[in-house]
Amino acid sequence: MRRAALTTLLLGVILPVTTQIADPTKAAIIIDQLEDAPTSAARFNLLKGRDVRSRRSLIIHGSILTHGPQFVFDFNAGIGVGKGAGGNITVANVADFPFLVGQGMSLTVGKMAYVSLSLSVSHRSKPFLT
Amino acid sequence: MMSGSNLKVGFIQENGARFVTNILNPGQGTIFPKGSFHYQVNLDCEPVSFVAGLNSADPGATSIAQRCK
Repeated sequence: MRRAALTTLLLGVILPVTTQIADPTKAAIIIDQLEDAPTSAARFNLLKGRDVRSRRSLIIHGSILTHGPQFVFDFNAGIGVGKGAGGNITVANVADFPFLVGQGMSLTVGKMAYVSLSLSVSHRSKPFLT
Repeated sequence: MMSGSNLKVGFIQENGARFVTNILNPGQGTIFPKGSFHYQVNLDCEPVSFVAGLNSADPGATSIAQRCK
């Protein structure tokens, strides 16, 4: 019975289409600006919305880049979630959390149902799973 | 941090490397080497949650089995 309930959790397959970026083009512009920043401090000011006030419409999208929450990723907000029959995995990567530009890291939180499988996957980086 | 039940995890690296599997209990952690194919299985009757940090802001994900529609 337990075996019969085996369900699968699909990871990378679903991730690109379920993120909550309203406009991927705008997200790409924001990340371009952050990557082009000459210093870490300049990047910080961009995230805070300074120095780009005239282009403010470009740096506001969703709930990520308004006011102060751009420095906090909410794993409960339904952003960056990939869902499968056996659970879901939330990925905080640079696309959904632009504060990660230049930081060289990201974080995922997975929730797996009973008797579930996360399909084999490979990354360009090393996960430390705990 | 892991909570709930335990997870059976495994990875395999390049040709010639050996297949590695482990059982992770809450409070334990493991690394999947860069480029290795890895998986997690929850064979228990309780749900499990886990956290995985990756040393890239754009780690990507290449699944060896893609969803059929």
